[in-house]
Amino acid sequence: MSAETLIGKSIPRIGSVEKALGRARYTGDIILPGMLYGKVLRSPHAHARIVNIDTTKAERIPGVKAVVTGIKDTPRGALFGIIPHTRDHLLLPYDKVRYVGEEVAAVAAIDEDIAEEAVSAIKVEYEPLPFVLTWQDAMKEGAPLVHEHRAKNMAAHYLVHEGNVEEALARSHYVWEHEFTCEVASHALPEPFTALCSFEPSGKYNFWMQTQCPFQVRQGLHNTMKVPLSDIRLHSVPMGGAHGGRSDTPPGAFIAGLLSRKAGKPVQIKFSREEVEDAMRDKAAKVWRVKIGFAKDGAITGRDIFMMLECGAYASSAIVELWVPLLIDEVLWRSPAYRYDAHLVYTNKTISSMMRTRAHVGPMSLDVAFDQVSKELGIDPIELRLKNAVLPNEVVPSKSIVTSTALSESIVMAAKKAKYSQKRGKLAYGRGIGIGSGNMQAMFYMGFRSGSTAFIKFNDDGSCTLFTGNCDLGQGNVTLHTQVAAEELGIPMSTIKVCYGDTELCYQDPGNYSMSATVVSANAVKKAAQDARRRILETAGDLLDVSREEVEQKEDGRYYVKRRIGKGTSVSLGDVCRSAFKRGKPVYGFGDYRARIDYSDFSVDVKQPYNEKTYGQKVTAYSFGTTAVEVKVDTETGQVTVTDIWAVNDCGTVLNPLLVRGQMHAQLSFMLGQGLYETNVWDEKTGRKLTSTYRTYKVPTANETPRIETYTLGIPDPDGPYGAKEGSLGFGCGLHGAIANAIYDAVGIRVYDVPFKPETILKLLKEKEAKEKRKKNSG
Amino acid sequence: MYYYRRLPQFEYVAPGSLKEAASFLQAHPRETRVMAGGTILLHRMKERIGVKKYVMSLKAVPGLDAIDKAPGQVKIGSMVTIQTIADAPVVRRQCGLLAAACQMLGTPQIRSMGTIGGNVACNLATAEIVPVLIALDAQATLAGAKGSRTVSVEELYREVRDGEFVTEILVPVKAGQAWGYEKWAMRKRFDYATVSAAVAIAGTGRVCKDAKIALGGVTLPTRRARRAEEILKGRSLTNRLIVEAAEAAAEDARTGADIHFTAEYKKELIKVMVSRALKQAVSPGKEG
Ligand SMILES: Cc1cc2nc3c(=O)[nH]c(=O)nc-3n(C[C@H](O)[C@H](O)[C@H](O)COP(=O)(O)OP(=O)(O)OC[C@H]3O[C@@H](n4cnc5c(N)ncnc54)[C@H](O)[C@@H]3O)c2cc1C
Repeated sequence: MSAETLIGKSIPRIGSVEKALGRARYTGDIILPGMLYGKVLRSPHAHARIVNIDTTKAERIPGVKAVVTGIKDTPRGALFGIIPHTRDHLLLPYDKVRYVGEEVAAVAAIDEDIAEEAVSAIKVEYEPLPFVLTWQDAMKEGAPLVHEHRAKNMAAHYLVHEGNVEEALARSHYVWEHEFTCEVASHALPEPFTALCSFEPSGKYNFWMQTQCPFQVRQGLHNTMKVPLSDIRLHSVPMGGAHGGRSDTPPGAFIAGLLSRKAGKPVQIKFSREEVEDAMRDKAAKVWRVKIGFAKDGAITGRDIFMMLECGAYASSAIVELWVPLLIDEVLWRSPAYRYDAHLVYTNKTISSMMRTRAHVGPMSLDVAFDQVSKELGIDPIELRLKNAVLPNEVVPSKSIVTSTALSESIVMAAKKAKYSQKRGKLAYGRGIGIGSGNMQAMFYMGFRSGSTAFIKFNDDGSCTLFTGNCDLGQGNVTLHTQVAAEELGIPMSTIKVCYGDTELCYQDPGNYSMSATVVSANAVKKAAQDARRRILETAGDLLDVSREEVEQKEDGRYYVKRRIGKGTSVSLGDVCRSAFKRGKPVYGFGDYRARIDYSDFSVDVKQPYNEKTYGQKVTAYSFGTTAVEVKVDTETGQVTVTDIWAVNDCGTVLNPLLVRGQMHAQLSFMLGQGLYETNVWDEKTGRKLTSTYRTYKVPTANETPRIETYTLGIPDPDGPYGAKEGSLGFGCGLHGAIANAIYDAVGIRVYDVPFKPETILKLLKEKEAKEKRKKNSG
Repeated sequence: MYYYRRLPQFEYVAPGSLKEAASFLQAHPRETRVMAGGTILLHRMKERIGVKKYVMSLKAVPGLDAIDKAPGQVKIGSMVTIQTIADAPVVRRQCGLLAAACQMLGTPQIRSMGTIGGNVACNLATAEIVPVLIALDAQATLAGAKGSRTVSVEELYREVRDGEFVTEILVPVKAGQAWGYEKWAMRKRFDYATVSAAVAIAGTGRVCKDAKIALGGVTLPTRRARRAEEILKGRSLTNRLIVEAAEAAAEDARTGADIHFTAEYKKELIKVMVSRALKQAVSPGKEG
C-alpha cells in the first residue's frame, strides 16, 4: 500500500464543481420519452370531510392522460407511518383532509399548462370542519379531533424515567426551572421536491427522486402501493439540500407512481415553492419545561423534562421528533435521576418530521441554566459545565454507553479561543459573549435500522465500482466512501466510481438520517475494500507464484513479492483483474457492518418496536462540541447580530478537514437562521400557512454570516471508521444557548423562546428599563 | 390556486418607438400591462393578480435607458435598471441618497433586472425607491396619446390616467443638500424594508431651511412625515429636536401589522429609522 494515507487529507467534494457550474443533473433535468407532467390538487381547508370528487371535466380536457383520486386509485387502508403505531397517513386521502395543502387528487398531462388547467377543473365537495392550530387548543376539552381514534389529539407518548426524580429534586441544594419554546421551522430546501416515475409493463415502478434514505422510502411505497419490494426501484440523483427534509416517503412520489401506472407513461411531478413549504415537512414546534436540581458543589442531581410537540396532521414520521430530543438531552450532562416525559399532539398543520436541528431546545435549556445557576452557586460557569459534562464510557439514563466524548475538551477550547472568561461581563453595553454545547447521535436505531452492506466490483483495467445503499445529500458521502475505499485498496480515488442509493443494485443501508453515513456505511465500505484487497493479493500471489501473505503493494501501485532484493517482477492491478477474470474468480469485495446497537426488540412480534422499548444501546456513537459567540444587540430595535463564532467539534478522527469545515459552516448558518431570523406564521381564520415563500420565510444569507473560526479535536471513537464519528451537527446544537447567554451578557435580559425576535427583545429591554427607573425613583 | 406558478395566456407586444407604444396603450388602455424589467409583473401574473390580455414591453423603445445630466437636474429614463443607477457616477455625485437606496434594494439579480420605472409605477407600499424620490422632490414624465406631461412622484398615483406610462424620472440637484437613508429589515440585504426612512435637508450649517422626510413600509399614501418636517424647519438640528421629529413621524405614520411585526413595533422602528437618517444627514459618514 502506498505510504501516504488519505485519512486527514482535505479532498474537495466530488460533484461540487458540476453543481457550481450548473452541470449537475437533478431529478427535474431528467426527461424520458413520452414523459407526462403531473400536478396535484390540494386542499384549501385545514380540516374538512371529502364529500365528493368529480373529475369528469378534467378527464375530458385534450392532453390529459390520467386523473387519480384516493377513493378510485389507491389500495384501501394502506397507511404510511414509520412504525405501526403511527400508520395514520393516507398518502392520497379519501376520508378527510387535515391541513391546507394536503393532496386531494392529481392529473398527468402532456404539458404543465394542461395539467394545471385540468387540476382546476376537478370539483371537490368538502364539508369543512373546525380545526386546531396549536397543541394548547388541540388538547382542550371538546377540541376537534384531527384523527377520530386519537382522543384529545394525543398522537403518541414517550417516557423514560431513571432513578427517582421527585426525590432527587426535593433533596437538591438548588432547583432551577423554566419553560423554553421553539417555533415550527422549515427546511427551506433550495431544490423543490421533484419525483419522476416510470411504470414498466412488467409491473415495475422506477423512481428518480431526491431522498436521504432510498430503502426506507421504498418500504413506505411498498406499504402504501401494496406491490412487492422488488417492483419498486429508486434511483438516487444529486440533490439541492436535504437537512432531514427528504427522509419521508413523500405523497408526491406515491402520486407520481399512481399516475404513471394509470397513464402507462413516465410522469414527472415538480412542486412549486409554496407546495414545498406547505405540503412537505416542517420541524415541530416544541414546549420544553425543565426542572434541574443542583448540589452545593454544582453537580446536577436530577432533571425533570416535560415536552409537548406539535406533530401536524400526521404522526407518520413525526414520531421521530418525540424520541430524538432524549437522545441529545440525556447525553450531554450527567444526571443521576432523570425523567423525559414527551407528548406528540396532532394539529391541522403541515406535517412535522425530521430536521437536523430539531433537538436544540434541550441543550439550550441547560446552557441557559448554567449561566444563571453559576451566579446563584458562586461557581464559574465553565467550571460548572466541566463538573457535569459526560465523560467517556459513562452510561446515559436510557442505558447507552458513551464510548467517546471530548465534550469537556471542547468547552475548554471554545472558551479559550473566544477569550470567554476575559470578556464575559466586561464588554461594552450592547455587546455580549456566550457559550453553549451540543451533541448528536451517530446512528440511531429507531426499531428498524441496523447495518449497511457495500460491494465493490473491479473492471479489467483495474478501475472499480463501489455500490452503497447510502447516498449523497450534498455533504460529501460519495467523497467519503471513495476516500475510504481508496485508502484500503491503495488505488487512486479517480479510479473508483460510486453507484449509490440505487435500491436495485445496492444493498440495504440505514439511510442518511441520524448521521449513519460515517459510522455505519463507511465502515461497510471499509470492510468491502478490505475484502477486495484480499482477493487482489491472492490473485497477485498466484501470478507471482507466492502466497497472498508474500505479496506487497509498493508506492508505484504495483504488486511485488515481499522482501525481494532489487526490483524483481511485479504485476499491476489491471494484470490482476484481467487474469482473475480469466480464471473465473473475478475481483470483488463484500462488506457488512452492523452498528453497535441493542437489537433485542428487533423481532416480528413486538407491536410497537422502539416506542415501547425505552432502554438499551440505541446509538452507536455520539459527537459533541461547543460554540462560543459574540453578539451585538441594537438596543433601539431589539435586533441581534451574531458577529463572531468560535466552534469546536468533537467529531472523532477528522477524515477530510475541508468537508468537515464546510459542514460546520453549514450547520452554524442553519442554526443561526432558526435562532434569529426564521418564523412560520399561520392564518388563524383559514389555517393557511402565511410563510410559504423565501420572501416571508427569512433564511439568512451570506450577508448575515458572522466571522467563523472552526476547530476540531481529533480524538478517535472506537467504533467509527479510523475513529471518525459525526462531523456536521452535534457541535453546533448549542448555538442557541450560546446566543441566549450572549444576549444576557450584552443587555441583561433573558430569552427562552426561539427564534429570538427583535420585537420581543425590544419589549423586554423596555420592561427592564422601566423597572430600573422605578427602582431608582423609589431608592 | 395559489400553488400554481405557470404564466397565464397573454399576448406580448414590444413597440419600437415611444409613439407606437403610446398609441398601442391608448388603443387598449384597460387590457394592457406595461412591462419594464418584469420582476414584479411576471410574479404577479403567475399568482393571477391583475392579469390582462396584453403585455407591452418597453424594452425595444429607444431612449428610455439613459441617464442624462441637465441643468439643475438628473434625468433618468424609466428603463434604467436599479443597479445602473446605483453605479452611475453622476447619480452618486449629485443624488447620493438615490444611489444609496438603489444599492440596498433586493439582490444583484433584481437590481440588474428591475427598473426605476417599475419601482415608481408599481403602486405598492413595498417600493423602496418611491420615498427616496419623494424626499428628493423628483418628478416623473408621463407619456400619453396627447404627448407628455410631468407630475411629481408624490402625486403620481393620483395623477396617472389610463393609457399613460412613465418615461422618465427627473431628480433635481440642489447644492448643499444633506441626506440620510435608513432601511430596516430582518436581513441586512435581500429583503424588503419593514420600515425605511429617506430624508433630505436643505440649509447651512446645522440650521435646517427645508426638510423632506419620506417613509417606506407604511400604508400608502401617507409616505411623507409632514409634521416632523415642520418641526425641523428653521431650527438647529440638535439631537433633541431630531428625537422630537422622529417621534412625530412615528405617531402620524399610518402603518398596520404584517405577518411578522405588529403596528406598534413598526412605529417604534419608524422613530428609530427617522432619527438615524436625520443624524446621518447632520453628520454624514456616521451611522446611528
Ligand atoms: C426577489 C425580489 C426582491 C425584491 N426586493 C425589492 C426590494 O428590496 N425593494 C424594492 O423596492 N423592490 C424589490 N423588489 C421589487 C422589484 O423588483 C423592484 O421594485 C423593481 O424596481 C421593479 O421594476 P421592474 O422593472 O421589474 O418592474 P415591472 O415588474 O416590469 O413592473 C412593475 C409594475 O409597474 C408597471 N410598470 C413598469 N414600468 C412602467 C412604466 N414605465 N410606466 C407605467 N407602468 C409601468 C407594470 O405594469 C407593473 O404593474 C423585489 C423583487 C423580487 C422578485
